[in-house]
Amino acid sequence: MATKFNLNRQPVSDDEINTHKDFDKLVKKFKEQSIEKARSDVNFLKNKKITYSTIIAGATIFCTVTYFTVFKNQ
Amino acid sequence: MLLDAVNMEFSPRYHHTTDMLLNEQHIIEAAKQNPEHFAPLYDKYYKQIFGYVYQRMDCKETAFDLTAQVFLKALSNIEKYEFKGVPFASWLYRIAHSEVMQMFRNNAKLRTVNADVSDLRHICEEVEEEYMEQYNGVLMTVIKELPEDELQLIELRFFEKRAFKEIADILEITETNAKVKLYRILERVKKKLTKKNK
Repeated sequence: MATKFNLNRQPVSDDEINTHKDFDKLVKKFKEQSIEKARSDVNFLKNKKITYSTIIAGATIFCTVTYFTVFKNQ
Repeated sequence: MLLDAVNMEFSPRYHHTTDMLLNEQHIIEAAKQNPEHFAPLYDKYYKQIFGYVYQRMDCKETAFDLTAQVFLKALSNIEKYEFKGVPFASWLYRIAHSEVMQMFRNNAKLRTVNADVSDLRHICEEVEEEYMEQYNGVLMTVIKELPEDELQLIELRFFEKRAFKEIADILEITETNAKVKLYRILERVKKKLTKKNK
């Protein structure tokens, strides 16, 4: 990574820093992000591929466990 | 002199009393329940985090955007935050560092080091070199050539004037480890400085 060196740069004034400070905006963004995340989580669960894959995986595990249980008993 | 760098403490701003830490912990717990309660932490640390971010880049507007991003990330992940007996700031600095590095990787922007001449003079004194103005260029080249983790240590200690306790908390190492690492870096800087001056 290339590096640049600045000497004696002017500091940013407190007033300028305070003009960018906006807690309400932060909370608003956070809430929007949370809603977006909740939506994508719901979409993920509603996804057909995920549902079918889970069912197939579950059935495979069930069959394997059943098979070995029966096989062991014999 | 090298050992002086190790023993000398700069700024007392970081050292919190147990009461201060516990009070901060109460605010964090409240913020976990309701994001509106994050306000005191935002007010307290906004300037510090902006300063940290801006120290490492050229563009002021990008630094403001990234600071907002750091706080958004902190608020989003506050449920995962675990109190380890150190100020909340060290967690925020770690998020800030990872965001800054991510930005450099994604946007191929220049990593920037910002320092005052007095900081360079201070490094010279630490490595037992008598300061001369023509050393500035050499010292800047030597510092620019340092790997990121070593540059970070030099920045935190000499350009941001942080106490070893704070540096250790930010980098998640022990105070002794921070001192030893800095001592070794300074020794190497000294060697390079002597070599380049010949």
